[in-house]
Amino acid sequence: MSTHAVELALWTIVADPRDGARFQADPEAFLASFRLDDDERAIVRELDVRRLIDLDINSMLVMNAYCALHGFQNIPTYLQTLNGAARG
Amino acid sequence: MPLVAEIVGGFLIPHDPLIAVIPGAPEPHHAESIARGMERVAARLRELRVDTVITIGDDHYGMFGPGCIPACLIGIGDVEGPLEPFLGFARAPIPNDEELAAHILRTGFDDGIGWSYARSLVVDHSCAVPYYLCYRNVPGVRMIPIYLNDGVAPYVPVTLARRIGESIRDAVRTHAAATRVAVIGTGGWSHWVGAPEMGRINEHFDAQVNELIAKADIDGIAALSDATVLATAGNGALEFRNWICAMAAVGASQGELLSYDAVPAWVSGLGFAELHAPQLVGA
Repeated sequence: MSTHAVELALWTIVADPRDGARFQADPEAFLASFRLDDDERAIVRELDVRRLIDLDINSMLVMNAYCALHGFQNIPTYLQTLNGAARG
Repeated sequence: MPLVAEIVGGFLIPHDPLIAVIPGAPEPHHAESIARGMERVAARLRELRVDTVITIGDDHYGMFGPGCIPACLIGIGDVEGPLEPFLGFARAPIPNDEELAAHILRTGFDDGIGWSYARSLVVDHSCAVPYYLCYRNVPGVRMIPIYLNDGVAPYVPVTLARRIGESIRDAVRTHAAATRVAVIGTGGWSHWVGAPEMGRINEHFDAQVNELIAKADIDGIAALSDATVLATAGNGALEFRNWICAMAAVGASQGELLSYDAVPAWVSGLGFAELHAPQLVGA
């Protein structure tokens, strides 16, 4: 697991809304430019926030990526997803 | 007596973005307390006739990416903010004190500080929230933004945060300008950012650090281990480095806790403190 490559992919989504839009339009094409293995690519593609946190990806960055794609107002949903999955 | 700048005040204040994003979310007495804290600090800055506020903030993995994560960075040129549109402030230029910022940078290099620096910087909420909610109400005030890496491991060492503060103090004392300076450490107290515990507040931890703040006990704050802080007070509480830097810059010998609120709706303990030092008496 390369936390660096995963964080780079997430950071790229966060840093420029145009990259966030590219990711949303075609995740596979967007992620092809990052050195991710199949598992990592799936986790980022699905923005599986619980697994990202469990894999020790920086939690601020995970939240930032979620907000970049779903809006800052959806932090409650982010937390529900994070903690709901943990309980499940 | 040569003309030199002087540090005339120091403060610790919150930078929680939710204060700006959802101002009506907390119970009214909490929101009023935070608003009073911001105004109280702004009033002190006016009373102290502060020209330049040095703001010690930290990136939240929004400004700096995996390609370059500075341990410490100073904005020496154009500054604008905020980075985050969701804060609700129109992004605009923020006046910088470029001469003093450059002098802090050069002094730091002489002191062995491995500064990164920015000629053009868009500040995140850690500098923008204090600016827009507090200092902007101080006529003519300028802001020098300083960023310590409190958010992405490995974090800036607390010993370095302290040395940076001491170097800032030396730089201000040797800056040939009649500039009245305040140093403000932002953030801190217990809060979890993006972590499963987000929303939890550890008032017991906050009470302990408030006692250390009241004594300006830099050694006591510096003795907090990152592992303990992460486990008991959250990744956001690692911002105690900003306090250490500000306390060292001011040469604080005492702190005055102005207020503390645990605000669940804003997911953080939020405090205000004024730093006192012998040389500040009568400032």
